[in-house]
Amino acid sequence: MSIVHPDTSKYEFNFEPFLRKEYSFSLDPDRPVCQYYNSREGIKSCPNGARCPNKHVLPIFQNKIVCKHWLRGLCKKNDQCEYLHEYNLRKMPECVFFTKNGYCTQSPECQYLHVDHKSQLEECEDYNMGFCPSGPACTKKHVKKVLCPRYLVGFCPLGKDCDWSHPKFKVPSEHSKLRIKKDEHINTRKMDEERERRLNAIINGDILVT
Amino acid sequence: MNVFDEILQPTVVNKCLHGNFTSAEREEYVVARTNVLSVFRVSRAQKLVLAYEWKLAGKIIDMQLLPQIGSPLKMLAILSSKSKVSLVRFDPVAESLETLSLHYYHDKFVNLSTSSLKTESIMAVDPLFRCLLVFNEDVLAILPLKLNTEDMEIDEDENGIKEPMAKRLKRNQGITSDSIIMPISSLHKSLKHVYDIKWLNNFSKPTVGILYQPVLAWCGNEKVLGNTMRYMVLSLDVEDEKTTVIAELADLPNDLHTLVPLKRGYVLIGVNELLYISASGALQSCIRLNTFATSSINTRITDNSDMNIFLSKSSIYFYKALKRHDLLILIDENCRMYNIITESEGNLLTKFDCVQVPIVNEIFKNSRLPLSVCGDLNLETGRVLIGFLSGDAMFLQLKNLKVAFAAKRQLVETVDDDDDEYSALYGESQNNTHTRIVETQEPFDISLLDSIFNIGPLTSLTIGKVASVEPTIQRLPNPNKDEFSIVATSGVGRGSHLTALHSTVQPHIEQALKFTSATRIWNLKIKGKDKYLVTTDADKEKSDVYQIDRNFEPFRAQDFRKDSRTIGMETMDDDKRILQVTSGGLYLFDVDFKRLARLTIDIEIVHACIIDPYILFTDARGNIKIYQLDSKNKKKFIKFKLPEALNEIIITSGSIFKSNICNKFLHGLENSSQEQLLFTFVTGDNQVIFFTEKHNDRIFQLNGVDQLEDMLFISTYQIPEEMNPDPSIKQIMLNRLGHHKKEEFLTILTFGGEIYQYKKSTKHSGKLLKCKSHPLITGAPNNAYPQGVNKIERVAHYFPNYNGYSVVFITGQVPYIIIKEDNSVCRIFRMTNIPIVTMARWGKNSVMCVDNIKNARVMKLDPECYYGNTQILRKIIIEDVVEEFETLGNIAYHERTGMYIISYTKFIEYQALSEDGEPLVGYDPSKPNSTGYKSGLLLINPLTWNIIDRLDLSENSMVNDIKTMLIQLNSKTRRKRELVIIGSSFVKEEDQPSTGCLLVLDITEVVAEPGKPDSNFKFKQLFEEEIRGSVNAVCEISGRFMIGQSSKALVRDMQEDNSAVPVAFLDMPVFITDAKSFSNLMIIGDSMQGFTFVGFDAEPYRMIVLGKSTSKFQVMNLEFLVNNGNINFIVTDRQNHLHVLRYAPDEANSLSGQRLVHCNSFNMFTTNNYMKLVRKHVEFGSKTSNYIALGCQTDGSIFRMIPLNEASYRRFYLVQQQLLDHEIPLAGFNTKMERLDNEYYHKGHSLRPTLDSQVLKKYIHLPITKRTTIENRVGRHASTELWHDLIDIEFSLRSLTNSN
Repeated sequence: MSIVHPDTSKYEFNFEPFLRKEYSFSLDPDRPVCQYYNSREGIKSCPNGARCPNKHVLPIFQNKIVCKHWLRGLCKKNDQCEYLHEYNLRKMPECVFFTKNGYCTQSPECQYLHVDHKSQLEECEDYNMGFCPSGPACTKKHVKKVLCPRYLVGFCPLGKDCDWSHPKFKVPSEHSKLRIKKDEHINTRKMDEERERRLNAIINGDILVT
Repeated sequence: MNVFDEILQPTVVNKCLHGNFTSAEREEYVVARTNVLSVFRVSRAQKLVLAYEWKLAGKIIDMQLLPQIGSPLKMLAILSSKSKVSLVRFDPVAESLETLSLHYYHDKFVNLSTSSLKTESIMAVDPLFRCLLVFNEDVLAILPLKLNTEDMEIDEDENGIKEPMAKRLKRNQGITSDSIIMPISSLHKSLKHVYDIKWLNNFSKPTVGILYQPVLAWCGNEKVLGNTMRYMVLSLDVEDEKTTVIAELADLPNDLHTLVPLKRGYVLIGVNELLYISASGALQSCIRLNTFATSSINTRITDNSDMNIFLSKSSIYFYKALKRHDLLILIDENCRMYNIITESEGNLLTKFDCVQVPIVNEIFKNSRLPLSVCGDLNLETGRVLIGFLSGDAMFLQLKNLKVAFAAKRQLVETVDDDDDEYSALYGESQNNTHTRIVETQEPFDISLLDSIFNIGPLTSLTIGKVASVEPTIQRLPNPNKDEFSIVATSGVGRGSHLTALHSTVQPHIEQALKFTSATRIWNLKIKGKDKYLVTTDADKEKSDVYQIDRNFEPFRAQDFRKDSRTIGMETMDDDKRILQVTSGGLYLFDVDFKRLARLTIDIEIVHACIIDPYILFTDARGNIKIYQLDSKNKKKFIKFKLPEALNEIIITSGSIFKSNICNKFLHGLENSSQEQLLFTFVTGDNQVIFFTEKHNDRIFQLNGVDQLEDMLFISTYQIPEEMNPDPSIKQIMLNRLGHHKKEEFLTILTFGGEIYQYKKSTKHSGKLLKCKSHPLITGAPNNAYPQGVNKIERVAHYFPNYNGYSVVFITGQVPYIIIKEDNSVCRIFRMTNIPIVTMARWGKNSVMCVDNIKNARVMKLDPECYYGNTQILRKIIIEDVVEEFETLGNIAYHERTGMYIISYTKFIEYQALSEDGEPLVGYDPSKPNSTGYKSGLLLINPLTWNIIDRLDLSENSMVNDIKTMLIQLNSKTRRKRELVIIGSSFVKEEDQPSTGCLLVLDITEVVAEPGKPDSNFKFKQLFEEEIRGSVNAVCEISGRFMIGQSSKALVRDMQEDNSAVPVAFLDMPVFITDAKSFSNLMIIGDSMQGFTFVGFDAEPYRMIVLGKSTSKFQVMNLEFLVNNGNINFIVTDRQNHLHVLRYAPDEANSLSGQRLVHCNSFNMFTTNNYMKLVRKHVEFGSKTSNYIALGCQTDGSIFRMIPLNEASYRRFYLVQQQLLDHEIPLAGFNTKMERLDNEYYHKGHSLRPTLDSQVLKKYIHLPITKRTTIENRVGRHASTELWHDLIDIEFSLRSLTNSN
């Protein structure tokens, strides 16, 4: 266990049953949602009741509109409120203005999601494989990566945590302009002849090798 | 419940005095470092050598030396918190402090005061020692002293008719009379808001000068109110409690803060000006120090405003009345020195000037914020000791201070050519008065003689690898492998640096060898060179000789006994003979291992000690034999005649030492300090007996050693009638320890592995005093901790020169070193992180150590470290060739890459600009600007401590918090990555709303620059956001992170595109100061309203307030303290309290947990700056992980807070009670009052306080009889359990060294 970042998530507290009962709150925030629990029917819908180790999502979180009183810390209804008591900007809808115009007049304060569609472009497969014939004109994203030398030699112990890229061998798709040529396509007789001719020329001293 | 343990003693010198406190012959400095009182003596080499050190139970706020009647030594008046004065003198018999009288003023002050008292009072002593005053806010206590006999006569003359002297003495034999306590307004009705109060010189009755301001004013309302500061001189009639106003001055500038009484007048120090007031109370002159100085003052004004000096309240002064005039030196917070020249003819001031002392050698480069100055100084030469808050305390030599006057004189000379003044000033003593050329004079010289190590103020700390960065050294595993150190940022301004705290010695490895199996090694030096290495293996009964200079080739020595176990090996007779002691006998060789003599012994020899020409050995039956090498041919062993009584005693071990400890008892040597050979033995009943070469059957003993008494004395040995052998002492050593100045110590190593030390008394020969200062627990008696001593035998080895230090090493599974710096007491440290089986001296000043896996390393002490504090300290200076980074503020350790991230803050001139870059209205460019800040981040590689990358933030920004944390980058895979989260704020004027910035950084590996192999990492900025509100705290919470932006706590989640989206928030009352998390629970501290305990839940994101503190703490820092499934919180506040609260939903009055239960409050003596949670090392039993909290403080100390289980807590509580009840507190500092008395006392559980390990550890040093009494009170078999508990506390940070 790391001494710099001790892992405290597994610690068992004496008061955990109390928290579960009182706040339907448990010590792992990312625990799965209980499959039996139905927020309309209440706690009885789950056979484990208040002792259920999984998440019981309260009915208040089914609401869509955030409670304006709660945002100012003034809502007195608590869990019985008919509005949503959650401030999660991940769930905000996309800003229409920004999507349309590429900028937003409310810019730093706008609470709606500003999705930069450029950043959502797919990565260019050809570029990732080594070469994209369309160059800068390519409609897809060209992300520059550094190949991991360890991975290239065979094995990188860091695996997914490695900072450098671990390119996978990939067969180009049908739409790609890159093709894998078969051996017979490459070694044509014409090429062989050409090579022989050059070799002879070198032997005869017609061409100086530099 | 918890125990508070200080793991690093305070280092900031907050008060120092010059005078004779313990010795009249030597020049002494009395130094206070928060609660440590030390007496230093000046050695011949002009160094400070520690004479005595006492750890008191409370903070020393101020102290003064007072004369003692009938003694050349002075006594000490110590002011502690709660306005308590202790009068203390040095007790030469016990060599300790003796409390003469105690004066408590706090309760009376509280009753009399109309406003709330300040935490620290002011103490002032009358120059003629007639009385002493303690002042706080608006109340005053006067303590009349009866110290000065001359003064008493004067008193008698005055009051003789009314009250005869003899009668008065009879009534009160003490040194003080009854104190007079009164509100300050009863001295004079106009007195209010007193800034400074001092006793004045040259008055027949005690007279005070008071600087006060009846109507408060500041620069904002100065135009309306004008100058309202006043000055008053009051004469006190202590007997009749009457006062007379002697002088009064009104309309003084509002920035005055300090009053300095001179011989014939007073100097008032203000931030912007200096005023001179004559003895009659007339304002005679004013010096303007900068352009802010007031112009509306009606006196002669000298304009020095081009000097641009600001003398803030933290500047200190040194004053000494010399024969002809006064010497007054001011030191401002940037450590510039100013000389204040005052000259007067009669009452008329002829000259008043301020000159900067020309210091050319940048001696104060790394010092800031001076706290105290003392010393002996005149115009020619002198020495001063200055204590700084930031930077080492300096012991300085000043030469030719008069040049500071002279330089100015030249300037004067060019103006009005007036050298009469000059000759008047220096008189005839000045030889070159009439030579006008300044160059012929010796220049002013200031040089550093010695310094006292200081690492304060500590601002933040982290845990990281320092010496264990490299896994192997010289192709063998690093002896400090996988070891973590505490790394802290310390200091302010240019002297700021990093401090690494090592819990083990981290030596330099000079050479490393792979070895054959050996249980002991010897290094034979022939003609000053390492020649032979002898090894022996006790299990295989084998010995070998190797030649060191021939690359460790085996030496074919035919006569050498290879087939038996070697017990001892030594060269004799000036390196012409080699002696081998094997288990079967003695063998004498010449330098080429040719046998010269042999002596076979029938019974197996188990232990030998060889000091030329004597050989002492003990055999398996416990018999002692001493042989002597024949003095003529050096070829024969002659039996040495032992005292007869020795045959009847059971002996466990014996050694020969050189010492002059018993010269007093030897005929003809009474007054000599020549060292004698002492044949020393430990008997079966733990007595230490010894005799000399010419013993005449006379044996001495060290009385009291069997019970480990506080003081041992030498007496003639009488064989006891009955002897119950129960050996506990394994080995003793009597030798000199130290660096330049060595002192004699008796070191006792017990079978249980404990180390006890006694120091030879300097005053009485033949007496030894127990060293009680902050011990390290190394073992336990009665087989309570067998794990410590099994596997590898503990043997003490003495090395007279290990890098200049005389040290004792103790081998074992956990090896130790006993080392002493000249300016500290003896310290015991763990030596490396590996077991050491045996060791031998190597080369000139190194040591070869062999570990349990046959690796041998030649180790040298790291000279950069300081070994005088309770932990090994190493200063690490972060420098760039081009620029200085000034204050280093926050530090974090990035575990994946092993890099440190540090924030720096530079002082810049503040430009008062509005948001659009225009100067603000009222901005005056001609006046000096205020200070602003510019900060940034540095990436440091601990391999070289070079800066390998940096990130500068914009001007006026200030980094508030840096943390490295494991952040979930992808909500699906939950892969976590260690990121650096930084919170900063912009420091602007008060009209603009506060803004801040959040930065998320990653550290990525890059290809190192050529020539710089350490620069293989760089910052990579992932996310940045400007935030409305200053970001004061960042904190990890279940893979997300929380930032405190002004009063809002916002949890953010990292998304795949590296943006940090807010997912939950919680409003806090005023301003978030600190936040910490444990699992998905979080505590958020508020600057005014206590703290909140919050639970965090994801999807849906919630922050549930589980509980709140009911008291409104002004939170500085907080931390979790988790123990046995319970959760406690420790909170430090701005009043230097440490509170322990608990989340207890079961408890009756906790409103099902919503109110956090206040357990107790504990006073700390200084401000806490940072706290961190560390996993606790579990030495005994349970596998559950517990955590302790580490905290660092302004005075350079570091503490840990250790949770205890109920059983150990109760045992400790009983021990603490017993110790407090039966031990007399040093200097009258009462632990309970100093630690527990505060306004929160009644809120907590008074019977369950936080324990102080300083008290608990006294138990270790009690004599055995007293220990048994306490153990019996605690319970049956309590001894073992108590020792286990103590070891558990002591070893709780071993998780840093045994991290895996």
